[in-house]
This record gives sequence, C-alpha cells and structure tokens, in this order.
Amino acid sequence: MKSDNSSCNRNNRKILLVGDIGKAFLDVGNITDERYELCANMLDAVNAAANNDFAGIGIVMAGTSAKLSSVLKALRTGCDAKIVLLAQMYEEPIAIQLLGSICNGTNAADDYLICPIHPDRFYESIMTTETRSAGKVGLSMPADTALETKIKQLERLATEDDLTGLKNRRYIWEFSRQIIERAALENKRVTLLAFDIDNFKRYNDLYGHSVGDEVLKQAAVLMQRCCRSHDVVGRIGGDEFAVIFWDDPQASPADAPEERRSPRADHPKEAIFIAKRFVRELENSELTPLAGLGPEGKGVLTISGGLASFPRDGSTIQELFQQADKALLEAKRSGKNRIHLVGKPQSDIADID
Amino acid sequence: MTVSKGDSNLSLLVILVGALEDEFVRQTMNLLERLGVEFVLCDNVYSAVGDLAKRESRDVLIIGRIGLLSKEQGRLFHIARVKGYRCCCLVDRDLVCRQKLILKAIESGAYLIEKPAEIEEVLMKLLTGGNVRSSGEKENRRASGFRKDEFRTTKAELDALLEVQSDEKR
Repeated sequence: MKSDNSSCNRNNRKILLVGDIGKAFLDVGNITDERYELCANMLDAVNAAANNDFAGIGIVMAGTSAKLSSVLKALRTGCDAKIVLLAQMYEEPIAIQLLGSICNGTNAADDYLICPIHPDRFYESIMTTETRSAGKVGLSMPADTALETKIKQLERLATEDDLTGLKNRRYIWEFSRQIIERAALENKRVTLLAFDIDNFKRYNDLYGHSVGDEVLKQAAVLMQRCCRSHDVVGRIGGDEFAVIFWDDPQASPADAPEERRSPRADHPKEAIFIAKRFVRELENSELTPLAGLGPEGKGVLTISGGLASFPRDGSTIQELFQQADKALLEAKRSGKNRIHLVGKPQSDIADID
Repeated sequence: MTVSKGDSNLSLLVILVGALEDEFVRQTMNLLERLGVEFVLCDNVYSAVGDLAKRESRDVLIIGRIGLLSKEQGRLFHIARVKGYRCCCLVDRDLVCRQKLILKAIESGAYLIEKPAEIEEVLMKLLTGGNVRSSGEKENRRASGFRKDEFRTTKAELDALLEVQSDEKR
C-alpha cells in the first residue's frame, strides 16, 4: 500500500508524464529528468504508476480519449497520485466528462489543463494542490483557492469575448489550428463559417451603441442555440463572427469514411444544415432592442457569410479564413442576406437541399 | 473485477483478461474453479497490468485472446517478461493477427493456443510441476537467449498457426 500523500513531502517525488508531450507543453526543454518520468505508452504508464510513488500523473489526451476511462480506472486502482488531464482545446468536453465520472469511489481524474501549457504551470498545479482524500468524492480543493480562482478568471479573460460571452479571436485561431492538425491525422472534417451582420453600422447610428451591443448579443445567442454542443462559436471582431464545425469528438477515426478528406469532397451537410437553420431563426426572430419598430422589427436582422471546409478549401486556418472571407464578400456583393459556399460560385446555401 | 479464491496450497494465480460475455472467458473460469486455481478477471490489459503490481510474490499466468493481450503494441508481453510472468494467448483463427505481435508473445515465452480447450493442457502442465515463471529477465536472459529447442518449438507452433490461417484464406 502506498503512503498517504498528504503526509508526504510532494516536492521530493517525481511526476509521471504520459503520451506525446510535444503536443502538451510550450517548452518541452523544461521537462527535466529530475522532476519527471516519461512514458509514451499507456500500458507502461499504468505499470510505472503501480510500482512507483509519483506525486502526480499528467496524461496528454491527444487522440487517446477512447481508451482513457480504462486507463484512468487502472491508475486509480494502482496508485493514489493526483491525476491531471492535459487536453487539447477540442478535448475539453471529454475532459470535463471524465472529471465528473466516478471511478473506484472517487473522480476518474482530479483536474484538467488546456494545452499548450508551460511546464512550470503544470508543475505548480500538481504541487500546490492537495490530493483527493481516500473515499472522498468531489474535485480536489486547491491549497490556495483565491490564487486558483484568479488564474481561472485570467484564463477566461484571455479566451472569451466580454460582450457576448463567446470565444474570442485568439481562442478561435488556436482552437482551429489544433483541430485542423487533429483532422489531418484522424481523417476528420472541419468547416469554418465566417459571417457578419448586414448593415450593422446602421443599428449603431440609428438606435445607439447599446442597441448595437444587444444585436450582437442576440445574434450570438441564436447562433449558439443552432449549433451542436461541441461546435465553437466566436466573435472575432466588431460584428464579425466565426463558427468552427467539426466531427463528433466521441466518434472513433474508423467511423470517418476515407472520402471525407478528399479535396473533392463536398462541404459537410451538418454544417450547411446548421447555417441554414441559423438564417431561418434570424428571419423569425423578434429582436428585443428593435421591438419598438413593431412588425418592422421582425426579420430585419440579416447576416452574410462564407463557408469553407478542410481539406477541400485549404489546409491551414489562414487559408480557410481567406477562402471564407472571399465567399463572404461575394455574398455581400450579391445582395447580402445569404451564405456562400467556397468553390460553388454564386451558390447560396438556401438553394441547397 | 471478479476475484475467485482457489486452493490456498497452489501458488499459481491466473489473471484472466476479457469480458464475461466471451465464451472463452466463461469456459476458462469454469475450468479454473474446477481445478481450484485462484484467478482475477480483468476487463482489459490496463487493469491487468495494474493488478500485476500487487502480485509480486506469486506465480502469475495471464490468459486472454491475443487481440486483447497485444493492445498497445504488445507491451503487456514485455512487462510480463520483465516481471517473470507468463502469458497464454488464444490465437483466434478468424483474427488476422499481425505476425509481429505473435512474435512478441513468443519472445516473452507465452503459450499460444488455437482452441479454448487447449488451456486445460497448459494449466495441467503448470500445476504438475511446470514452472510458470518465464525465462525472462529474472534469469537475466534476453529473448535472443532462449534455449534453441524452446524457441524452435514455439516457432513451429507459429508456423503451424500461420499456415492454418493462410490455408483458410485460400
């Protein structure tokens, strides 16, 4: 039986890092032998954890989610180290799910961090946090709750748009980069919808900036309502928004047909369906700040957008944004209130069955 | 995880990897109970390896289908060899198992069986004086250091198995 962690000096014990650390850390050079032991293989990690007294275990999730619950169960049985999941942005929902699942009377994992992360931040998260006590169900309590809360606040400020609560431009770009990298490896699809609100300046000029802000907020709420829970909606500037549609994170790579990644493959039907639904919702919505307009307030809010897909329209996020922006401009020139698909000139999604 | 206490005089412990729905697992469990051998049923290789750490002083035999035991590039075979344990793999005829993994199993000193019923023969051999401890690093021997006749026997088994598979494809 291992000794109780809470009574041990955690600083004298090593941390086990499992998986492809290059995908998790900003500066892999800081991962030193004195502090860490590395395991590329999950089975070796279970073996190492069962035979050593580690202070904590960091698991790089990238591409391992299918077997992770079995691995966590085995780790919980074999040792009492603190387990921190190192998740890519797109893996956050799975990490949260795993944190909430119960394994041997406690949480399957103690915490998760979104990558890429600095090794010192990870080290602190292992060392400054108390381990779970035996049999206690619930998240671990940080030693310095105020500091932890502050860090979480700063993380939110760095990734979210203040006005709408959507993800900000920085998050969208980093998320897109990670998800495209994964899509290339696992034969998955990624689609970008870039859109803006038609004649947005007019709302500000006619009704004031507070009304303009309300329009942005309501457009954000409507878009989120139309999307699937794992799709990511962001405000990337002024009245410009971006939505990243991607394949279900729980689906295994084998589920994706080979033709999906073909450059000739069509845009995913799901993305087109959601975009069409959003346009329809906008038409039917009665925007609160414009309620004073009476019947004229209904359906006045319209958007123009462009939709680009990986890999057919580009292999990087820059290329996808360029293509989607071009399609958006075409949509504006063609009379607004429409979404154009890249590679299908003059084709509004409304015309697609 | 199912644990069954067997005859306390036997030092052999079996870690059976697989699901209860599997006919091979059920048959093996019945056999182990009949022979009075203590066993632990693990769903997967991860819990099997986690469990192995608690069995340092026991003679352990790990039984399962080769498809299950060879997960994670067959690392279980390596871990078993280092600890001096032995594996027994059912090589399914309908499974197109990669030759590399079968070789890893052989190098670890694993028994390969073709039919579930053959497990009894393996167990009887071990219970009637056979040494379950593999000739792994406990004796400081590498795979290349296997006795020639020992390797020749298992290689012949492999050849036979592969021939059966290729015949069936034809």
